[in-house]
Amino acid sequence: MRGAAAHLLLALALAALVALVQRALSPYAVTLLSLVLMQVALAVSLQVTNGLTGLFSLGHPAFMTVGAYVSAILTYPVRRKGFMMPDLPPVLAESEWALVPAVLVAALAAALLALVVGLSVLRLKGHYLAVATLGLIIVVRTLVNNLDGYTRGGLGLSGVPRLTDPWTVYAFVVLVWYLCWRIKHSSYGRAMMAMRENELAARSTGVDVLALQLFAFVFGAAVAGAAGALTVHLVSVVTPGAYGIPLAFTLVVMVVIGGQGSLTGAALAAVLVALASEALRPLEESLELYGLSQALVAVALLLMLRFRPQGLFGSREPGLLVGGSNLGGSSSACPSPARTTPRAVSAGTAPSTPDAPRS
Amino acid sequence: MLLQATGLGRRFGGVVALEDYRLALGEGERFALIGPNGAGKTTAFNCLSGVLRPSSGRIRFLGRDVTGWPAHRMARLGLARTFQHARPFAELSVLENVMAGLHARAGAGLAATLLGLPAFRRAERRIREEALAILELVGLADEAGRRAGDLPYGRQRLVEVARALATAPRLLLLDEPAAGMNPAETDQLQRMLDRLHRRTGVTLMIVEHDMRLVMNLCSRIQVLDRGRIIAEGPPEAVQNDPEVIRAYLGQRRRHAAVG
Repeated sequence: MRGAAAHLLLALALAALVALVQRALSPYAVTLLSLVLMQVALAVSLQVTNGLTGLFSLGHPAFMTVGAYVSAILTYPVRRKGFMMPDLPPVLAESEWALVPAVLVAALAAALLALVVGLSVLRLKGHYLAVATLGLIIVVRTLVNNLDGYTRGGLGLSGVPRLTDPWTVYAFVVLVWYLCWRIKHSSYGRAMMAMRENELAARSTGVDVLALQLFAFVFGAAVAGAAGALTVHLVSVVTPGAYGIPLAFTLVVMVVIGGQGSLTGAALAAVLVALASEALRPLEESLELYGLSQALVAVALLLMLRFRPQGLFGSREPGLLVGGSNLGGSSSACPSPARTTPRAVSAGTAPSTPDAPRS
Repeated sequence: MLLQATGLGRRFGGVVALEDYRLALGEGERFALIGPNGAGKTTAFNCLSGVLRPSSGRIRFLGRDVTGWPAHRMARLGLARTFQHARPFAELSVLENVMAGLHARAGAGLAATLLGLPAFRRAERRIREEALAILELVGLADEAGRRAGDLPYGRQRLVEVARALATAPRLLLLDEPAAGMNPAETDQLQRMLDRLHRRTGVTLMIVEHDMRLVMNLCSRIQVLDRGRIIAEGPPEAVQNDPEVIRAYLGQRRRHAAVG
């Protein structure tokens, strides 16, 4: 039960941080904190979709866009709907939803989209999913651009009600973390990692690979949809290109840097990458070197792959969080710290770590 | 009859890997499938276990027509297998490898898992206990916490056997279980399989080149050559079958030990 206590402590510490930032720092810092937390939720959920299963989905931005627009349209003030979204059917045009149901519907919409895409694409082997989800980002953007009677097209939707505050985001991150942790440290998580390690062997031990892949993909999409919805209520604006291929890339980098399958690693990498990008922004502007932060993220990724291909944490979680829990699964920190240490050391000195990274 | 295959065939493009294969296994039998390299033994295994869809023929298992069933359904119904080349879940611990094999049979439902309900805890506890018992049975208990990919090859093969056992099979197909094992390990394997058979009554079918293991373990042998059955019967009869001797010697194969 030590693990549960450590989680509780972590949640409280994070709550204290949110309270502190809100009280003591500028509105800018508050927004920044919310956005960083959002990235954490996204990276951690992608860790389930990609890291645990070995899939390679780039679809998170597409699902975020869907979630953002669905929720924005549902919650938009009725008196301005007629002007901004003339094509809305009367049912929608005359209703103004509250945050929670709108976010749920947004998540559901993203999940449904993922279900349709997943059913058709997951049967194919190899990197078809990467290509298909990359295409999905563009398809969604084009659709949003052209459905201008609902979305105002390329102008984007502004004046979306600010229904989210840092505490909403906090609750969201905690929920996402909880769900992902549960999944990973259960029979489902083990089956997912089993199929990542060897699909044929997993099938032959009774794992329904397609069903689990579909679940992981849809789950990630639902989280991304909700994240998109919550973000639009935080920043009050969304444009068709707000969440695009660069974000897909950044999220995948977070998963790789964190270590394939490690939730802690993804969370940490998300914080590092998000803060570094933000810190570099003034530099980008003063030097007029736009895209500098992305270039640096790419360099960080290359260095990581060269010197520590298993990522910060490999597939594991810090022992403190797993604790002496008797829950059974403890997939990650099964009692072999002995294993991580020599690998970590050898990865630093002799880069030829034999365990080739999948992907 | 536990398993019955008739007229089973599999072609890859123009190559006929298996033709008119038939098999009748009774409950509790210990059966071996042998033959020179490339004879179609692994293809037969793949067809029986649902890894490959047979091009022709029918398979009945536990009284059901299972022709064309995918591998995970075969495993759930009670047919488990290992592979010719070890396929451990390398990043997982030995214990987790076996626990993964219990997912389909003993895993808690999704809702119970996400909410951490008592049903989830019970299921996880049962999975862990059964997995530990299986590790004890195959002699891997001391290595439960090690990363499966770090074990020596021979031990990895045992992990596969343990993982297959986790699905509580009625029929266990072992594809060259002794490959990569030294003589001492092979002896251990044989004793373990004997023990397993005695304790659980599981039906065993093995593909193996180590004739000592085959002769000691199995009471009935089938010989394949170039995709066809050329002999079947008790070990002594098969050993002296001229057709079998020709298949092995005629191709200047090294494992002429059959004779």
